[in-house]
Amino acid sequence: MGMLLFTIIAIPVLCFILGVLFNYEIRKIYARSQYRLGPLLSMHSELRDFLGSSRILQPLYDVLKLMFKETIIPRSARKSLFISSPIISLILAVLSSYFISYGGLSLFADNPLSIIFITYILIGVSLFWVLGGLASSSPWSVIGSRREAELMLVIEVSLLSSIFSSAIISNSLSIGGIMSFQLKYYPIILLNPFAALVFIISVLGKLHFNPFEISEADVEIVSGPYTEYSGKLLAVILSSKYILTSVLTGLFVNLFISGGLILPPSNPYNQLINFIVFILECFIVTFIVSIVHSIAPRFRIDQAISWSIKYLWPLSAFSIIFSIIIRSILGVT
Amino acid sequence: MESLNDVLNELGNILKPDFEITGYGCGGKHVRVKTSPYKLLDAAKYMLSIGSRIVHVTASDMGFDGIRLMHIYSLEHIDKHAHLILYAYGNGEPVKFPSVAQLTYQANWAERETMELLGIEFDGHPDPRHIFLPFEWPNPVESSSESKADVKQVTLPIGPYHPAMLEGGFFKLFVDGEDVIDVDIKVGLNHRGIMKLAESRTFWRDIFLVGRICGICSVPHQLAFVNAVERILEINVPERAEYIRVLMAELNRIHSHLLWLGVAGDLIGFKTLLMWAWKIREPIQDCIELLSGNRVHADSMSIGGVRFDATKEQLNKVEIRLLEVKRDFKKLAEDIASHSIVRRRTEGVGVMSLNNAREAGAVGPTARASGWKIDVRRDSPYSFYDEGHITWDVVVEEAGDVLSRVMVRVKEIFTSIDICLQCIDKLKSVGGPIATSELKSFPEGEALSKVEAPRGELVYYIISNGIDIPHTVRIRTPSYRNIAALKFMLRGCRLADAPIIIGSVDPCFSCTDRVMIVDSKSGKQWTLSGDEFKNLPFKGWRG
Repeated sequence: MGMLLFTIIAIPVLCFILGVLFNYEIRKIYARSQYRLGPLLSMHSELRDFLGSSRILQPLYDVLKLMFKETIIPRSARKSLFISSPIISLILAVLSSYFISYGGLSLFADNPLSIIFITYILIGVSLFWVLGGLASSSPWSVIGSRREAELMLVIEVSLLSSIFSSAIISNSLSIGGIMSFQLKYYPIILLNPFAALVFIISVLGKLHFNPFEISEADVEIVSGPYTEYSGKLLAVILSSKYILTSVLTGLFVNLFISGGLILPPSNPYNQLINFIVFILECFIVTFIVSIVHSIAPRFRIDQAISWSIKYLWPLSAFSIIFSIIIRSILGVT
Repeated sequence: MESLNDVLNELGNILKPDFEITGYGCGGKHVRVKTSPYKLLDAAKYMLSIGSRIVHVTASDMGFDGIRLMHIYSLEHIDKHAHLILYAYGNGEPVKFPSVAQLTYQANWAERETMELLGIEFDGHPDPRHIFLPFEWPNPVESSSESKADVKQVTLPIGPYHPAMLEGGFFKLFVDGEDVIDVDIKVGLNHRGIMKLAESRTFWRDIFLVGRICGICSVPHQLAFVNAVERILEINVPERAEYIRVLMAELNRIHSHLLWLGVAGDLIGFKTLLMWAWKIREPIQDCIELLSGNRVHADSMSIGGVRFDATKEQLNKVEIRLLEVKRDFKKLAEDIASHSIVRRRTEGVGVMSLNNAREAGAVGPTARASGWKIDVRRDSPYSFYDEGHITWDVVVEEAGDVLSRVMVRVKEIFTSIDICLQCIDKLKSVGGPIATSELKSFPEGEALSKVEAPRGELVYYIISNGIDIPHTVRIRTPSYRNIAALKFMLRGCRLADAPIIIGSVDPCFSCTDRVMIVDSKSGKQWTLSGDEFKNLPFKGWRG
């Protein structure tokens, strides 16, 4: 029981800290590719005493700083929805983190239907961002939410198909099962690289990185659905984003590069090695994401949708067919 | 029409008997013609029919004679340098003139400005609203209410403060979903009264004042001002000074275009392009600093010459830097031209046809991107831009979309680097003084001067009444025309394209808002847009 309680608390915290580190990495690489230095330390002076002055934690300071700020709720907003939707999206993000296997450490990853659960929960996170934007009744938020919703329609399809490609190959609907399949055979990224490619592109869309930074396009619609959010509610949204970053990269590592399982998790020593490998793999995935983010400009929303339907959807369909072929070759039962 | 004389003869027949040539400028190519107010419209009809364009409509209070309204027509398509300055005096309370804005959009903003500055009334102006004052300002001119917005449309304010624009401008977009139906442009949110200030300082101090109109293109402003003053004084500038002027102007153009390219990249969500373009721009800033001592305001122009000489060591350093910039930028330009998403975002977006460009009176790179080959450096060469000294070509693109506006500027950067290198070559061999010694007291006179600023044609009109303080300084900046032309590009575009289209003309609001005396009551204009701002979310949500 005590172990269970520890895991319930430890997993979201771990996820959040990983999200902070990944966001630092993305910002740093984005900056270095632009001949900039990257995050320079800027934080509330009261925080400096107990957090230290490491630049790596800059994304964390950003969240903590917002906690000190006043939360402004527009008079024209639907107050209950405006306040509740970021909180629900944070809860959903935390919930989704329980389904990821952190190199063996997990709560629900071995559930026989964990993939089904996590796909539903991941849709929910974006959905409540959209709702919050609509509730704030600013024209920028409304347009941003509309764009986000339109983008969700195309991106979720490809995300689901790539997740299920790996499920088809491994003949399992559980993340733990897919990982043990990869330990037994090969990482799925080698068996079906198309599915992995589709997943990475969908992650860009899910996390609003270029070329899909459409719903937050700062020069067009200020910051899209989050325009009216400030203070603690914005901090909640940022935290849910950090957690989603680590959940999605973790999910990629779990589904396509064997989730860090390079040794059978029979003893604590092996488990530690697996955990370290998991985190390293996550950093590699984030690196790829940040490189794409820095070399691509933003699509227009109609271009993003037509591009996705023209190229991404056929690729997703192909990856599913390819998975079926691979599965019959391997003879998985 | 064959020549300037033919045009004048024909015009004489039309305007008979109110036709009097009162003076010449710029070697007989700038002709000043006096006529009577009610003949102005006939003259405008004739001038527009022969393909001439209205460079500016402006007015000056000439005291006893009354208010003088000037129409400046360009005849550059007939003869180099050729301009007709048609003017008429008006008296009365209020002064009334016929409006040429009903014939062409080119005069629209200029006449609205003149209404504000001198209280002139224009009969038959299609849109006689305020341009610098808020729309609701107590108005001698009857203001027509603008209510194009349909109930189903959402009205989106871009500005006065908006992340897409670093300066204050107000674009009211009427959108239906993602499609922009119509647009209303309001400038003049920050007036500085520079034209009025210039009329209370000496010519020498004015050089520094006009440089401060715009931080990005300070050199062309000063160059145009000193050119006009030199035309009044009828003095020649030493050869070495002219080469330094061209060098400074072209360095300024390179840095302005690179700055714009970065901003354009940001507008399509390509922050990496922003940073890369600005990194390449740094050495150019260093060159300007090396030559003049300042990074932003070079302040190198002086009446009759330049203020700073360039030593051989400086020139060598500048040459090395320029070659580096050329090498770096070539790589970046190829990347931009071949980047598929950049092309997707800019190709076929915000198209302005050649006809629209002529109708709106677009200038500079915006006009050249629509296939209109106008360039002051070629049409009325000033300094040493004529064929005898420097060889170069006007860059023209045909498509008229945002991509061609990008490509025009990208190619102009290479042209400018070539011109700079030629200047440096010449400067190494040409000696002599950098300022003329034949300065004399200021005579009575007036002069028109045009310069190709990075954003387009920059016009100065100066009237001197024989003392060292100018009687009238009238400025028409290129952005003034290009922002007005935005109306033609924004209609029917997608909302996501609006920022890059607005950005694609390189709008410089500090140029546009250079006029008007700031009133202590000007706080009123903020309450106006504030109210609009507050109400818009309701409209947006419920509409």
